[in-house]
Amino acid sequence: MRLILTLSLLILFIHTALADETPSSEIINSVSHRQVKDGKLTVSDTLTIQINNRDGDDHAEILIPYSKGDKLSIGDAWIEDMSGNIIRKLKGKEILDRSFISNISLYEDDFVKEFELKHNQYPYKIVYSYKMTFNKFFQIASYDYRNKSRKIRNSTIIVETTEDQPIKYKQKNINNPKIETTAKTIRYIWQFSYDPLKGEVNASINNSKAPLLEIIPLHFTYGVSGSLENWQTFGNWVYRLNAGKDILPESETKKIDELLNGVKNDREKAKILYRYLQDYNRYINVKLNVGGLQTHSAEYVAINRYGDCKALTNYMQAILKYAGIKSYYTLINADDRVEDIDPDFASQAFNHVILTIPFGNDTTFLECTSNNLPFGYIHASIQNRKALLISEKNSRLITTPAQSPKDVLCNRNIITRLNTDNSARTEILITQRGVEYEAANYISTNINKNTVDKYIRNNILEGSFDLINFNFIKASRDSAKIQLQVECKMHSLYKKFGNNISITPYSLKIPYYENADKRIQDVQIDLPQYYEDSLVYEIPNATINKTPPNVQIITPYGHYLLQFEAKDNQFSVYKSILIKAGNYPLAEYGKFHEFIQQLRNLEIKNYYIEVL
Amino acid sequence: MKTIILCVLVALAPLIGNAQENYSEEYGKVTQYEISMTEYAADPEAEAVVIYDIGTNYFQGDDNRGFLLHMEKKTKIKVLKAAGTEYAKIEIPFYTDNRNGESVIDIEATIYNLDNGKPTKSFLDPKKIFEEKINDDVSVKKIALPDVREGSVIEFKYHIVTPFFFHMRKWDFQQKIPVIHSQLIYKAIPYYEYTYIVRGTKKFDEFDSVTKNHDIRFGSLLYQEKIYTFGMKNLPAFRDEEFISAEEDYMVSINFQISKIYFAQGGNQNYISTWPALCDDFLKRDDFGKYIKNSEKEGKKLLPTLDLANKSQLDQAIEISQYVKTMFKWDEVNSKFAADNLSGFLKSKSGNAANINLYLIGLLKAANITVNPLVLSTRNHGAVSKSHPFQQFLNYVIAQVEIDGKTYFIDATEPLRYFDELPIRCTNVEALVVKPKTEEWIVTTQKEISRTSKAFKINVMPELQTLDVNIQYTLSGQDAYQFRNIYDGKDDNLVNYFKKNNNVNISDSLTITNYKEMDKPFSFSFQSNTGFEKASDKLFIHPFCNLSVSDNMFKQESRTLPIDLIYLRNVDYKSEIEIPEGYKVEYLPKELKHDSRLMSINYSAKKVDNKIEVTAGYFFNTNLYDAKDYVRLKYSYAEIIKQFTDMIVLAKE
Repeated sequence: MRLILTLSLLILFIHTALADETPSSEIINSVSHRQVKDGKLTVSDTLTIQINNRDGDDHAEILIPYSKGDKLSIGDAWIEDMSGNIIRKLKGKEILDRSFISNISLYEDDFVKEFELKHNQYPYKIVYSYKMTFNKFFQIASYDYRNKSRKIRNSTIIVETTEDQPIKYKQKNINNPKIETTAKTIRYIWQFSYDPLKGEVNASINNSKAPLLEIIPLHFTYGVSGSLENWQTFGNWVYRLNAGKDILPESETKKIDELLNGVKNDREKAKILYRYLQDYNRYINVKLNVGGLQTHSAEYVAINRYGDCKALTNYMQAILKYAGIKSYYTLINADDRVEDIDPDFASQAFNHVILTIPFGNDTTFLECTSNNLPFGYIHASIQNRKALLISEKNSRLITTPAQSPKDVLCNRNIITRLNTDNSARTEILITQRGVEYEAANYISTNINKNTVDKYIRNNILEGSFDLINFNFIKASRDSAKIQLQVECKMHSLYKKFGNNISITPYSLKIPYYENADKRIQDVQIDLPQYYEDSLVYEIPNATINKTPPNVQIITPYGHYLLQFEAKDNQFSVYKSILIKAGNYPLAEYGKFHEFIQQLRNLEIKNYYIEVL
Repeated sequence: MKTIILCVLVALAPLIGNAQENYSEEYGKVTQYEISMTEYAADPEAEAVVIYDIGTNYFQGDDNRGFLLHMEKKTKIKVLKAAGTEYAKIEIPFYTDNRNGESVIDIEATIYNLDNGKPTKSFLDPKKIFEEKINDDVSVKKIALPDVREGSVIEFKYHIVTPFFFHMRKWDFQQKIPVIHSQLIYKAIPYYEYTYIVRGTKKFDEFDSVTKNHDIRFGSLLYQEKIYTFGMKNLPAFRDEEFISAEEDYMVSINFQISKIYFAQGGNQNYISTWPALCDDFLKRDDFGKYIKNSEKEGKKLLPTLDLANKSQLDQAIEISQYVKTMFKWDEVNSKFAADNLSGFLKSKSGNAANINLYLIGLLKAANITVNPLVLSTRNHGAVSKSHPFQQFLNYVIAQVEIDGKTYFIDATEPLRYFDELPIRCTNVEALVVKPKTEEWIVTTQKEISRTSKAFKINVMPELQTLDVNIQYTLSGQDAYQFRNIYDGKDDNLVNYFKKNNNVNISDSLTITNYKEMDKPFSFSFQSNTGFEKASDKLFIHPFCNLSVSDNMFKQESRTLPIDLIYLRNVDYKSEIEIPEGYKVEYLPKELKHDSRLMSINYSAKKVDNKIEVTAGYFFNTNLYDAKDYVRLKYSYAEIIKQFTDMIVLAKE
């Protein structure tokens, strides 16, 4: 008994030792004091960061972003050693101030103050503080540590407000705040720490154990006054913020009249106008003033022929309105991952805008920033999630449809003629749907042999080959698929061993997942993957005698089918792979991983046939 | 003289007119051809084409500020595909330097479209010109032209006025899209002399220089302009090519550098120099020569603490370079001049490449080792033109050490590289040895071969249809650097790497050797289980367990530029397969031995007792190949893939 106890203690010890690997840098202490007073928000932050090794030096580069109109002042900052002796103080002239414009934008009136405090004796600490004042705000604090890799030993967030300026908050993996009330003020104090988990493939973001804290004012004035009481009040505020931006210049209404002349059906009209939007405009983001949420006017787009998602959607809504078609500006969180939206906690949880058109019972969603997607196509980054439909009085959460397996099915028909020198001539017809279609569709607008060659090598065909010819085939603008014809020469595709022939398969890339013993988080797969291959090999001067056994794997996670057939000198392979979308708890991971691993192994396995 | 020039001009005019008749170079005018063309015949893939790109650089006196340099530019582009609308985004960087800096004026743009067969014009609204502040000295004007779509013709112009004669902009004749006509006119005046450096071409399609017989007066000065014209026609698009040093080395461009200023009062100042004079300059500078001297003094105090006594010179050099690598942090800035003075650098323990390497040179001198600074231009900074001794073409410094007649190049910025292993950025470039009053160039070739050896011990288990394999990698040079980076001290990193990239499961016993011993090859070994194929009592076994190359690194169809592989590269495989009881060898891959100027390849498989031994390898015989070797390299590599993925077949006895 004693022995067992000692052993288990030992194991426990080893385990914690492993988990406690020294991080390259960590936040030792972070105190954020946020005061709401007289319609202003004042944020005073003080941070102590410990840099433990060279890799952590990146975190000694401090960036504090701010927008035009916000006041930012940086307080004392220094480097200290582990005993608290100050090694170096930051000088004012070391603080750089520059524009802070994201890659997707032409211009934003955002700026950043930056400085670095680096030292070469590890570990060392840096301490700094700053103060910011916002004259307008609809968020008091937003902390989201999912996907953050830095350890936090202690973080304190203090919000001080008055009774006439109530706040709302939502927290996850953080304890309730301590609330102190005095005659004039209410203080909320949150305290938490965070030990980051290693990044894992398709780790569930909705079941994450990372701290999340969102604090908002119940009432606010940002452009116009609004309330975050519920989604409806927030949506109605967005409506008011953008009201009156739908006036079109006369040249534009004339143009629309011309385009719609003789067209009766609303859906047909909308389709024509959507194409007009796509052909004449492009995506350019210019963010000024309350540009984060307020749109540029329809006139702005009509003149410049460009705009960001808000402006292009608002413009589309305006031209539809002129044509007598009702549509709704709709906020959504565009992302590869589907993040849950809490129906009971309204906040600015979105980063994108699309347009919703109700045609009777059939609702159509339009992505207004794309120049080539078909009318009503729901792309991977907006599928299957909650979105906020904006209307004057009745804003509400709605759900976009999911991309189903048949929506994302990709086919490959490949005819391979083996030559006698181990090389092969290959003709491929690929049909891409779903995300693959979205990527190929974009590439097809920029046909340049280098780009297409890279695309084929990364997405369609692996191994050593020469691309001889390729051709994109698009059935029509309205079809959500694209075909690609490829002709190539494979350098070494098969090998003959006496009566046996070994053929290297045209493998598909199956995603990689970590081993079951290492995995710690649930799985969240938001998009299905579905492939079907029909392969025909013509083998010179041979009659096929024996083919490999068929494979059939069917699980709740998807399937893998491999069927072989032979006739004279023709060897045919039919393959079908489906990896379903789904959420799988950690307890199930072993089974899921086994399925994926089977697929990965099968996909690279050569085909062995016997000939006479 | 006047008549001759006139004649030439008259003779030239119709020629130019003819060649470009479909296009107009008159600002504000668009031709029917331009507006209706749907593809550029010489390059149907092009997403856009530059119809003309014309610049004029000249000087003008300003009563308050003296001479100012003016650069005017006008451009017309046809957008042929949606992707070409990217060329309707314009960025103009300029030096602000408070109020005395540059100004960008007269920004104008016109956009031509066909709307229902009718030509339309749109204009840029000056209010839509934005300014991004990059830092205190540099800002960028950012413009998105309105009303641009597939089929649009865009035309824009702007004018930069600058007091900084050093900042005459480089003119790029060639671009990522085809250029029909690009021309730069430069009006020289007697007070500023520039040298120009041409890249990517040996000859201009248009070149002319005439002195204008027209006096210009500025204050008390009376002078004439000499007008130079440089032009190129029908340049192809420059598209990405792999394995090159810097695009700039190959794209057609002209770069002006001020070489001399003549003062009105008499006298002049030279900016162009000679390489020996530049060397002398460097040695006199506080942030170069004097910094080395100070470092040497510092070294005299420091070296006794490093335990160098009784060590050979080579070991001392190694010890000192390892000391600098571990104690000082590179801030990732390339430079040939120290940014911080020595005491600041020693205090902050971090600095730019010159801070670190000049300090290293000082310490080596203090140890009485023969060492010289070597200044060079890093690979992405472009090759140095030796006929143009301008210090700004060099941007980096390393140490050149001579010990027992051997030369070592040392850079101390990256601690994961041992002693004289150079980072890619300063490998294979020409470098100037900084010695008083001399000009000596040397190429920083890397002697260290980038080498990977993979060894396999395979135990075949027919009943389980699995292979029990022990795999060992031994790496040196760049390959070791790469794998040390992947490993980064954590076993999981290697486990994930092999699973993700090779579908190899590291089942157990991962042993790492020499992770921190940079002087020794980095090595690791592990145990793995993999399946193999079985058909009619035959076992098909890949001796290198799917860990041989399968992807051809040479992917282009043809090649016009030299191929720079940077390092000499060598990969070796060795496999030992135990023949299971009751089985015999039915097929062994044939032997291959191939030695050419380009590559050496070998492969041999033989049965020894109850084992099969396979050895294979390939070696690139140089690190720099001619473009004409590309296709042969590609086919040699395809041959390697084919041979090295071959199987061994065992059959039941």
